[in-house]
Amino acid sequence: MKVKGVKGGDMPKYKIADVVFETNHIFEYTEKLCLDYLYMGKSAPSFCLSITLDDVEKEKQVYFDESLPDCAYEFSCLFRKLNEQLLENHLATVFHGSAVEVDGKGYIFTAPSGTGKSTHARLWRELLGDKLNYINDDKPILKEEDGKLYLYGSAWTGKHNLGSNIKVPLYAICKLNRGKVNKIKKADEKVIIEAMLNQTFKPTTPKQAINLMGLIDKVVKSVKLFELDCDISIEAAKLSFDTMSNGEENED
Amino acid sequence: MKIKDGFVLREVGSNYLVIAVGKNAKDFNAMITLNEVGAFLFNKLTNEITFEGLVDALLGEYEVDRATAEKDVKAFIEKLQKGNLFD
Repeated sequence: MKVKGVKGGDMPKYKIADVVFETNHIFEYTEKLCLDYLYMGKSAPSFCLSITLDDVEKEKQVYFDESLPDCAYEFSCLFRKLNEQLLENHLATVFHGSAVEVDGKGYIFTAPSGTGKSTHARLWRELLGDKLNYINDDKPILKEEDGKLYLYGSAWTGKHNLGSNIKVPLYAICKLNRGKVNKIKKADEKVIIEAMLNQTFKPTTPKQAINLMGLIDKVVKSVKLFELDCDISIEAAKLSFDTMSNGEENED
Repeated sequence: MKIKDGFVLREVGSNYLVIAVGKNAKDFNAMITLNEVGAFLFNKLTNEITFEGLVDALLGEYEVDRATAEKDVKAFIEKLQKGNLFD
């Protein structure tokens, strides 16, 4: 079968979250979006993300309410497979949230889709200008290395296409709620645990489950945890940035 | 009784967390948190064990009277039944 937009040539290697892998993806679209992560070095790939047209069809069942071109389904399927490999063998997980870097510190806002993670990150950008770098506005990777947590960029940069191929130590995590009054407090660990379980892929093996819970354990024990109620205003961004960057909490 | 395969327990923060993998994950969205005693009982229940066996195990590990142990085990089993964790 001839498929439109199919790439040719050898299997390319990519490096994401400091893990080298290869893919046998079908569509050129994937290649374009992964360009920043193309790896030309000599390290052997840790794994191959193998994908078939059958996988693409299955992916459509997962997102049955959307109608996208096949290449978009391939891209999301690859992401799911990448997550499984990272979680199984590399103490890393994809994490749905908006992640930014300021003064060498990594911050991530997490919440269900539509709450306003990207909007709040954009307000930080307005507040801080070039001091802020986007790690990834939608799906950064959280990884533990030598007992420390890092946020990495990924090729899956969300609808605003904001992100870069960088690695930043995770400093603070913030669960975001939409509110009428701007208010930030130290988050209860259960709030963060639940948010992280909801904003990561469900593990498919016991080992992935153990590693995911290990990452969450590391987060609640070693990172500053916040919960923010906010509207869409620069004041909200000022409140959250001032509080989170100091690591202080305004407790009620 | 025995807990179904595919439920995984680990210490997370100041408690223990149970999450589901594989086919169980589809109809198990609630997160179950357990304290240390709950985690102890959960681990016993990953192998086939009777109600009496659980009570005896609890009495062997913790300083607690039989009546309290029976009450705690009963409550714990009901919690897991609610979450549909048993075969």
